[in-house]
Amino acid sequence: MGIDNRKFLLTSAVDLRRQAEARLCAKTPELHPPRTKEETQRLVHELEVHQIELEMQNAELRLAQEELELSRDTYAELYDFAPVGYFTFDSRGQIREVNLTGAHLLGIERRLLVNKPFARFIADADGREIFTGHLERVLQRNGMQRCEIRLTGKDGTVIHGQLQSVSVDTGESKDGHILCSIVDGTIGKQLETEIQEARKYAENVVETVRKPLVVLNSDLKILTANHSFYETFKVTPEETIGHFIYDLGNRQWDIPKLRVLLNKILLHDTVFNDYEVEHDFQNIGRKIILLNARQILHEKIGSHIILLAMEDITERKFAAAEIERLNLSLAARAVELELQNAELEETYHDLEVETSARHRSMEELREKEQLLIQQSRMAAMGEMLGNIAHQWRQPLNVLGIKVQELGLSFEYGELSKELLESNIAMAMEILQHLSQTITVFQNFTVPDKEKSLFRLEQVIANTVQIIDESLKKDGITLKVSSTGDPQVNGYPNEYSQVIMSLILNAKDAFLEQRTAHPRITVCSWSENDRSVLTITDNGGGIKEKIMDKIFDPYFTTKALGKGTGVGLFLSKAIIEKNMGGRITVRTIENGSEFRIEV
Amino acid sequence: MATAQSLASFSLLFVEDDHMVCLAIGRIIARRFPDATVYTAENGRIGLELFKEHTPEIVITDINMPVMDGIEMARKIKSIKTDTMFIVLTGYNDKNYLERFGEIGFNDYIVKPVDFGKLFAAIEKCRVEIML
Repeated sequence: MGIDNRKFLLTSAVDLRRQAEARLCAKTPELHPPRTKEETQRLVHELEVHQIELEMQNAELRLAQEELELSRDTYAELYDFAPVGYFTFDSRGQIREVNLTGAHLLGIERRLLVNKPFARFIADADGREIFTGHLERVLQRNGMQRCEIRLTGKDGTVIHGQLQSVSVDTGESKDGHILCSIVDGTIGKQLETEIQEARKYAENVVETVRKPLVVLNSDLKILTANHSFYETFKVTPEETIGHFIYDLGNRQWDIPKLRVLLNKILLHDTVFNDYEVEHDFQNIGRKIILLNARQILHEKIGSHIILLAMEDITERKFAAAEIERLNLSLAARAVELELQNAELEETYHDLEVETSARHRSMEELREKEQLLIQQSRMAAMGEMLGNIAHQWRQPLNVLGIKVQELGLSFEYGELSKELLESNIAMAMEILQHLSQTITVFQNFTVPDKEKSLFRLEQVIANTVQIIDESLKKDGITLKVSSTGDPQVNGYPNEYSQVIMSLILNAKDAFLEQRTAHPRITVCSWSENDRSVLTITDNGGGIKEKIMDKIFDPYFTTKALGKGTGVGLFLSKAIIEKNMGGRITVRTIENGSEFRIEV
Repeated sequence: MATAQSLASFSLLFVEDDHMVCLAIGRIIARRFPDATVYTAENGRIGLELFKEHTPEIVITDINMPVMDGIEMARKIKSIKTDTMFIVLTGYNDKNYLERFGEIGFNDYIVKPVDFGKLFAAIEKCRVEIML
């Protein structure tokens, strides 16, 4: 536009002359022709002065015009190169004028924009609608109107257009035009989005922190609090957000030390860690809380926010105390244990000594037991010798008598063949009997070398033969009965020793009880593939209170020196240990019954 | 036996639980001492009954016997007739019994098996004593 300005001005100077001359003509009739020469001279002089005045005026005007033109150029540049796009719209939204920045914004040459509808450069239908509404508002109302529209820019990029418009009434037409500035808010919008995202991010960070965390503004009002805060201090967001921190939950947060932290320390420190506060809270009781604070300054606006992180260390403190206590007790316990350990070691040592001693005594015991069995055998032999004595004394006596009778008869001259034969036969019979007794006795005294299958009846018969005489002598009736020929796999001589022992015990009982009609019954039979032998007597039975003890070693009811106390103990050992059988005893009417199962 | 009813005649009780021995010894004593009346018994009680009936001067007895032993019988006989003479038959192992019998009093003892020579001598000694 600047280039055409001078021509425009020249044209108007020609116009001005014509207009001036027209006005002079209209004025002329009123003028008087000059009367005198002086008057004429004076008029010429006046005209010349006037001309000079006019010329001077003209020059001044030209100068002013030039200045104006210069100024106008400057403004035109300002208009063109302003950082804001300036558009002039007509009432229908046609672009009438646009500055360079505006054209640049839309990425199209200026000359191509003039008389184009602005709507063509709006990116979407929504935007066009907004623009229509915007224009209407601008025309109907006074003052600045604003709107935001997305525009299609250079190479199809979308621009976030921020429009500010105002209508201008010109005298020439009623159809006013609209001045509109458009700013590219794309970067600002991006920033805003980023800021929002950053805020969201920050809020998420705050929320995900598991310890209670509040964000305060510079007035110590709460901007944000996380879930943990609500959870820990049993408060709701409604009674928290926007509240003065000291007012929270009936002023329970009005803690002197917190005031010190927030009002004094944070004035000169922006960071504060592990500030311990102990306080009685209304809903949750006495708590020890560790506070971490960060003050974040917004330099531009001079305000700040405070991040206040809390950690409830009540339990930890308690736990620490507890741990210390435990440690102490552990230490004490350790000492105790060490002592115990030492004691145990000592005991262990003692035990070892004792064990070896016991081992030795076990061996000794085993030796003693062996000895005992041997002694018992000897005792049994002794007993049997006694029986043998009884057994032999009578036959020997008879033998002696029969032999002497022969001599005496001869002396008297009365020896007959019959007497001789009779006495010899009887003597031989007695000798046979004695010899047989010796055999049984020998068998009894010879220990069994190995287990053998034997007939129980035979063992009973042999045993009985040894003691029969002695029982008879004591008036004891012995009855033997057997059915089914029971067999036993074991040690016959040991079994015989047991039978002997039981019968002799019964005999002793009779003597002690002075039983009127002493009777011993020996029965044997087979039962479920086992042999059973019972020996019953009527010697008064065994007293209930000693029933449990009778199989114990060295237990005896007999007078001192009479019993060894090993008879029944050994019987049990022989039957149960050596032959895997069972020996039991029970009380029956007037006596007892021993039962042996093998 | 009727001729035996002289001054030299005497009566004798033999107590022994073995029946055969009892009869044999009784028979032999009777043969050896024809002027003696011999009674035999198989236990102390029978012996005591026979004593009460016949009051023999000499009693020969075993110690161990069923029903009533020789010692008890001897005590009872002594209480009936103090001067009854006893010859005790005993085994080697019967020292205790012999001692107990000794408290009652006996004239002689014979260890079994019986030697008739010794037995006859003991009876003879007693017979002499009776005759005095």
